[in-house]
Amino acid sequence: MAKLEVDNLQKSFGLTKVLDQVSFSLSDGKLLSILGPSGCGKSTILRIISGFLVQDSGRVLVDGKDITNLTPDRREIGMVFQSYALFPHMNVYQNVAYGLRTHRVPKSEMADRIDQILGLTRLKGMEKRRIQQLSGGQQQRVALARALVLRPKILLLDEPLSALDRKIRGEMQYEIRNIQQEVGITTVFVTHDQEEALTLSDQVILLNEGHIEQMADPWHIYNQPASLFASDFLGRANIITGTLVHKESSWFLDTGDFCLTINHSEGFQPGQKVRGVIRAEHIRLLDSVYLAENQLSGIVLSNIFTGTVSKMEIAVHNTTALEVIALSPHVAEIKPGMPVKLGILPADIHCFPIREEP
Amino acid sequence: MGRHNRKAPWPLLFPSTGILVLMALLPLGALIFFSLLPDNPRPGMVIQLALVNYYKIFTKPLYLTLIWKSMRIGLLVTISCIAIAWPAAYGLAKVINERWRQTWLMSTIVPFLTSQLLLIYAIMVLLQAKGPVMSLLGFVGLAKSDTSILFTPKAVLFVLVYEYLPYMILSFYSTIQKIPDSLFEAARSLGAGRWRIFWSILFPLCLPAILLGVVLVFIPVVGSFVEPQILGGPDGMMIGSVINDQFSVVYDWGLGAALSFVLLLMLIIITLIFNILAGFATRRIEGETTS
Amino acid sequence: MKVVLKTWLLITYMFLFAPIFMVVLMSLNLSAYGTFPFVFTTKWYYILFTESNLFPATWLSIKLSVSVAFTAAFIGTLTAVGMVRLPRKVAALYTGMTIVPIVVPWLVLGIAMLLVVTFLGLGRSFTALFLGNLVVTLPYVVLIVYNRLIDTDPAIEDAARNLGAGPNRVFFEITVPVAAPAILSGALMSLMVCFNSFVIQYFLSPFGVRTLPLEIFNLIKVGYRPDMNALASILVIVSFAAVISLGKLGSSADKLF
Repeated sequence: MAKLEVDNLQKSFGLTKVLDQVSFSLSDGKLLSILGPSGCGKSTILRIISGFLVQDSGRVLVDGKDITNLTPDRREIGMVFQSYALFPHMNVYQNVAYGLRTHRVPKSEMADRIDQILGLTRLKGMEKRRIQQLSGGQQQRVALARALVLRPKILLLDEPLSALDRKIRGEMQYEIRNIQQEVGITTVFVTHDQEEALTLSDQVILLNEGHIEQMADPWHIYNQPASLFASDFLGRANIITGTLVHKESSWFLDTGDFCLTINHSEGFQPGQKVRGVIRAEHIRLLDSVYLAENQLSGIVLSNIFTGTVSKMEIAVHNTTALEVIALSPHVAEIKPGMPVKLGILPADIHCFPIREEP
Repeated sequence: MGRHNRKAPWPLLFPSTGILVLMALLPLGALIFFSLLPDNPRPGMVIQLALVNYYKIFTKPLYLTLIWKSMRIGLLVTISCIAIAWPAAYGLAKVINERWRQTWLMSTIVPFLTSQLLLIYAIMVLLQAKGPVMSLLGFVGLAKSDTSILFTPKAVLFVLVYEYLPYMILSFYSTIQKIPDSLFEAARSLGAGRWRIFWSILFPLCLPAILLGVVLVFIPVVGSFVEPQILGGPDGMMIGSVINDQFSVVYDWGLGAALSFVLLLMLIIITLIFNILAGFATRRIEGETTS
Repeated sequence: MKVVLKTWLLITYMFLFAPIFMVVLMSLNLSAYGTFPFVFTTKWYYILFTESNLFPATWLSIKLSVSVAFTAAFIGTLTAVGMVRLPRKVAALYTGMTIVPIVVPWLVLGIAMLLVVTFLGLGRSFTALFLGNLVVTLPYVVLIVYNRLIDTDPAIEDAARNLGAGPNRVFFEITVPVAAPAILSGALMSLMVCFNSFVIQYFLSPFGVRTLPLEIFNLIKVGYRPDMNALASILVIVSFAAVISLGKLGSSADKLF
C-alpha cells in the first residue's frame, strides 16, 4: 500500500513523441484509470512504471522513493497483463505460487497466502486446473491472484477486461473494484472504455497523444470537460461553431443562425471564435420540461431505437443537425418529419476557443 | 513491442551462423572456385585456376544432354506430383472428417522419416519381375509377368514420384487449409460455376503451394543420383549420376564441381523464373477480378 | 464430387503405403521371393539378427544421430531464441539462410562440403560427417522452435519478470519449458533426418566406415534379400513411432516445412 507519484515523464520512440510531460500522483488505496484512444501512450505509462521501458526523462516514485533504476523484478509492483500472460505450462496453483517462489517465501507461509488469495478471487478448488481449461473470467482472476499474492505496493492493470464478453466484463468490473477495495491497494487501470473508467475509478486521467488532457474524478471529467477533446471523447457530443457575444451582462454563443445563452467562463472575450460542445443527452425535448432560455425549434430527421435510449437527429433552423439522446419510452411517439421544440441549459454548453492558425 | 528492444540477439545466433557458413554457404559459394581447379583439391596445394572443366562441359554434348534430360524428368515428376497431390490435399483439407484429418496428415510424414533407400527398396520389391504388380499385370494380360519396368527410366520416374509425393501433399494441404470455406460459398452465391471457382479462387490461392512444391520437389529431383543408379539401368542415367561418378569413380573433382555449379545455377534461375511467373499470374488474376 | 475426392485421397495414400506394407508382409512370409501362399515366419528376423552383421553399422548410426540431434536441439534453440529478438524481417532473412541446406539438392551440397573439408585438410572424417549432418538437421529445430516461440505470448516473460524472476530464471523457468515440446519435436526430427541422411553420409563418411544407410545401399545394389525386408520393417515401425511422438508433442505435419 503506497503512494504513487509520476513526475514529468517524457518518452519518444525514434522521432515519435509518445509521452509528453506526464505527471500525476495517486494517494494510498485509490484507483486511477488512464483513459484514452488506442495509441495515446497509456500502455507506455504502465510499462515505464513496471520497469519494462525506461523513460527518456522524469521520475516514478513509490512512497517518495525513486524506482527508476530498479529492474522490473525488484520493483514490487504487481501487474495484470492484457493477455493475462498466464504460464501455459503451469496449473493455477503453480501460476499463483511462482512469484512467492522467486521471492523465497517459506513453504508454510506460501500455502497460507495462496489459500487466502484464492479465496478472495473465488478460485478455491481450481488449484489443479490447467490454464487452457479456464474460462476468460477465471483466467482473469488467476492473473489478479498471481499479482496480489505478492502484496505489491502498486497494482497495474493493462486493459484487463478487453478480452472478455460484454456480460462477464460487467461482472468483472465490480469484482475488480471489490477486491481492490478489500485489499486497499493503490491501483492504476488502463482502458479505452469510458464506461469502465467512469464506473471503477476514484480518479480518471484522460490521455491524448501522450499528454494529459484532464485529470479529475469521474463526475467532473464527464460533466466539466476541460478541453474540446475531453468533451468529444466522453459521451456523444454536438459541436457547433460560433462567436461569443457579450450583451447586458450576459454571454451568448452566436452561430449565425441562432443564439444560445451560455455561462461565463474565465478568459472569454467578445467576438472570439469558439466551438460550443453540447452532450447529446443534455438537449431536452420541451414538451416535458419548461426552460426559460435557449429554446430552439427543429424538425426530426430520424429516431433510432437502440434499447434503453433512442438516438434522434434533429435539424435546427434548417442548417444544423443536432444529435439528441433520450430514454426510449419518452420519445417513442416521435417520428421523422415532426416539428419539435428543444431546450438546452446554459450550464450544459461548454465553449472552447478556436486557436487561430498563425 | 517488448521483444525487440531486449538484449542483443547476436551471441545466440553465433553458433548456428558459424555452422551454416562453414558447412553450407562457404561450400556452395566455393563450388565455383573448385570448378576452376584443374586438379583435385588438397591442403596446401598450389592454386592455379583454369576454365578446362567448363570447356569440357560445353564441348561434349553428353553433359548438356543429361542436364536437359534431368530437367525434363524433374518437370514430369513435379507435374505428376501436383496432379496427384492437389485433389488429395483438397480432400484432406476440406472433405474428410475433421476427427481423422490429423491422423491422415501425420501419416503423410511417415515416408519422409523413412530412409530414402528403404522407399526405393520397397518399390523394387513391388515392381520386380514376378512381383505383385507384374503378376497382376500378367494375369490381366497387359504385360508378361516375368518382365519388369525395373532398371529402365520409367522405374526412376515412378520411384521419384513416390518419394516426393508427400512433400507436395503437405505443401498443398497447408495452403488449401488456410482458405476459408466462406470464400467458396461466397463465389457460389455470386453465381460462379465449378470451373470459375477453380480458376478464380482455388488456382490463384494455390500458386504459393505450387511454388513451394517446385522448391521441395523439382530441385531435389533434378539433382537425384541414387534412384537412377539403383533402378535406372543403363538408360536411366541423370546428370546427378555423372556428377557422382566424378567423385566416386573417375576422381575428376574439378569437373564434378563445375557440373554441380552449372546445375545449381540453372536450378536457381529456374526457381526465379517460376517465382516471377507466379507473381505475374497472380497480378493478372487480380487485375482481372478488379477490372 | 465429395466421393470422387475421398476416393482419390484413399487411392493416393494406398499408393504411398502399399509398397511399405508389402515389405512388412513379405518380411513375415516364409517364401523368400514373396510368392504365395502366405506362410507366417519370423525366420528373416532371426537371420537379420544373427547372420546379417548389421549391428555395428546400426550402432554407429544411432551414436551419430543422437549426438547430432542433441547438438542441433541445443544450437537450434539458442538460434530460435535469438531470432525472436530480431525484427521480423531480419528474422525472415535469417530463416531463409537457415533453410539453404535443405533446399539445395543434397548431391550438390554433399559435394560442396566434401570439397571444402578436403581443402581444409579435414577430409572424409567423423568431424566432417558430424558437421555435415548438423547443418542439414539444424533448420528443422530452428523452424519448429522459432514458430512455437513466435506463437507464445511475449507477455509471459514480462509477467515472470514482474513476479520477481531475473532474466536467467525467466529463460530457464519460462521460455525453455514453454518451448520444450517444440524443442523435443525438433530433436526428434533431427534424429530421424540424420539417421537417414544417406547422401550426406555417402560423401562425408570416412573410407571403410559404414553407417546403416551406407550398408543398406550396398545391400540393395546387390539385389533383393529377404532379411532386408525384416530390416526395412523395423525401420518403418521406428518411423511410425517417431511420427506418433511428434503428434503427441503437438507438432502438426503441415507446419514441418
